[in-house]
Amino acid sequence: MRQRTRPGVLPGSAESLGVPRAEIARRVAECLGLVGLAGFERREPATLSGGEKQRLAIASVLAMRPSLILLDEPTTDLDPVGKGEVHAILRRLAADGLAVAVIEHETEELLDLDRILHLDAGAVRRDGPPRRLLLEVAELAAAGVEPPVAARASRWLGLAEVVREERFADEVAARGVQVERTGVRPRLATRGEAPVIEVDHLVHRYPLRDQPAVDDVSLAIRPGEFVALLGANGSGKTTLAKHLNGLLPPTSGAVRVAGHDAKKAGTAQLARHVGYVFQDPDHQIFSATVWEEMAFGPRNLGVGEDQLESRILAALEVVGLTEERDRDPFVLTKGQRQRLAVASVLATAPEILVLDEPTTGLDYNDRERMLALLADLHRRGHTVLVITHAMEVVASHCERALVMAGGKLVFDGGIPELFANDEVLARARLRAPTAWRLGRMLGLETLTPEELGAALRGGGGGNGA
Amino acid sequence: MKLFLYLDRESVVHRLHPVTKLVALPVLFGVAMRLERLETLALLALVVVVVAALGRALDAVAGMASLLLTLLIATTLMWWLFAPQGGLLRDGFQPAALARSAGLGLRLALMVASGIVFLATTRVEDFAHGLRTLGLPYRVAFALTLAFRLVPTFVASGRAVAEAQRARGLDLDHGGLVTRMRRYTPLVVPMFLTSIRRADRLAAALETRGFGSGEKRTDLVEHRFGGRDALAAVLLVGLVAASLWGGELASQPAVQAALGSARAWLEALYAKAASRP
Ligand SMILES: Nc1ncnc2c1ncn2[C@@H]1O[C@H](COP(=O)(O)OP(=O)(O)O)[C@@H](O)[C@H]1O
Ligand SMILES: [Mg+2]
Repeated sequence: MRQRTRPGVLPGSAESLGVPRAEIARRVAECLGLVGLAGFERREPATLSGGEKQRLAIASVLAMRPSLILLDEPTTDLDPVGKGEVHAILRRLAADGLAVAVIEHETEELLDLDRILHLDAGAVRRDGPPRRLLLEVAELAAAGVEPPVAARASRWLGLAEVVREERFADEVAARGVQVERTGVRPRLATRGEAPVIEVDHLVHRYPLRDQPAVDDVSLAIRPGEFVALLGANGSGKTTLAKHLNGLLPPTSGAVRVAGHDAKKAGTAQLARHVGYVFQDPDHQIFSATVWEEMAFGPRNLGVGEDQLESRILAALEVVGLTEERDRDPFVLTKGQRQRLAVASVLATAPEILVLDEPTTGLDYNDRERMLALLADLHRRGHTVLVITHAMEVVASHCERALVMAGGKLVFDGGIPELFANDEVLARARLRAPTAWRLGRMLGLETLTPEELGAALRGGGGGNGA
Repeated sequence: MKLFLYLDRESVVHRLHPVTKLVALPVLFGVAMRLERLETLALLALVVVVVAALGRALDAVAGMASLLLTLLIATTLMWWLFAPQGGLLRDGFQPAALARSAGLGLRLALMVASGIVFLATTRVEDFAHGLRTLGLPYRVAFALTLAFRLVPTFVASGRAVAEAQRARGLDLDHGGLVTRMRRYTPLVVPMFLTSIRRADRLAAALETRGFGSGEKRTDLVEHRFGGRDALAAVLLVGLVAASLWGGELASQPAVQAALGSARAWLEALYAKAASRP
């Protein structure tokens, strides 16, 4: 017969250490409670969302009662709210007396920690409280670390440490900074051309799942648009995107891409029109040299050897990997492999590009390169659809956002409209980027740190950074 | 394909002691191997369906219907065509041979279906616990359950690799055998490499959680044998007995007579029902 509480994987660690059974059951309940997973004892870990899995991993380590917990980039592929939740849990654990050390390259969530060690080339470069240390904006950027937007804003205000968000408007007023109000942003204009992608009442249901992963979604994307597909982990973004090159057939509804019915045309045919870059480049790289990897797609599509060379060279040029053409892809860095994945898709010369979380796990420099690459492709006329959790990316690059929640499309419109829509943001577990949140306190609609800076400086305030 | 077969539900079969289920499964296999005639195998199929219904796992079995049907049809066809005795190719059409082949196909499908019911009603942790109760060392039991846990992960990463290559125009459906084999390189290499990386990470993760710390392990899962296990054991013994001696029993004159009168009664009942306006 079974006990009443029957937790899944969690006890693993405490069991290995020979902790008595009743004590384990208590610890399990307690640790799950600590990470906000009370009541999840019986769930299969594989059915948890990304954020829940990460919290489960933390709980399973906590169950051993360590005095120090060490986390290596614990939030990289989580949605914005999930990131915040993990960091809130870590802060609470630290407040309860546990030593917590987090390895991170994203700085936005680090402002409330007690201390930051900045490593550079294997040595501790600086060591101090976050609100002071992160104020060294120029030095951070030089070392390849992205400074938090609040730090840049604090610089412009000439503050001695990074401002607390809720105090921002007061600080601006206290310093007598005049804010230059730019007019209301132009709203997204609908274009006249015929769409390249048309999704009509699409439903996708995975076998043996009660809820459809994509639930009655209709949308149209026109040539040359740069669209962000947003939503919480598990909201159906990837499932929707995989219909655009026929990897998944619709359960019902229809998808038309570049004039083809996606279901009838099939993936091999659609590969000519749609380049799809997957989240993990290691799922596709198999060749012994960068060159061979690049040649794979075009050869599949029947591109002749005479054209092959020029295509590959052009694509490598775009992603900045020309020098690496004869190297083994497995010795490249993660950022390089990610760009190689994009390049190998570009070599098939598709007019539409779909990218699933292309910046996840990349550090500041690699991420900036990837974004510059996408912007460049967009300028060259490609239609770009990018799935991402990085709201700054959306704010600075995209024209339009599609937002999914629970399989449904809950928003389709311009970026400022999205950031101003608290209801949609909450429903999709999104958070407007810092530049927008700070700007909003001053009555502005600033999408990027640059716009925020311009508004502050334009008013005759700050002193640059 | 669903990633895990286990269905978290309340049912008698779920509540059986894992050891009971672990014993029942091979016993069921044994019985299926012994039976040869289509009719008796159909009876056994009924038993499996009843167990699946009791375990509220009918939908799990139905979810694998295409696999089961493929097994059934492919096996039947293979036997029917190529069987050394009575095969279509050697001896021409023989109804009895077809029935026997169908029986063999059904046998295989039944064994897979009972495996599905087992997995749908037994958690991996309980499975491991059952193996340990049966005397397997923890490390071995753990390795087995880990393998179970990893299968869906490997399937998922295999699918991801295939999708990534199809998106770049890889076509696995056309061409001769050799070219097709060559086309598998882009699938095999990334799958192999991601698997190695995963195994590496997994080993590190297990170690940080104290696996093999040398302490005596506590086992959180606890089960006791209950009345339903006893009942299940009796039913199993009955099933084995029926499969061993059922044929002989059925040929006894008394049983034949009883069966005959039962059939007569059913036919009378049917005639009455049919004659009603
Ligand atoms: N191969 C699959 N089989 C069954 N369910 C799946 C599969 N892939 C995704 N799902 C489920 O479909 C839902 C949407 O998943 P996905 O499209 O990957 O979301 P997102 O990309 O927004 O994180 C989730 O609930 C997920 O668990
Ligand atoms: Mg996804």
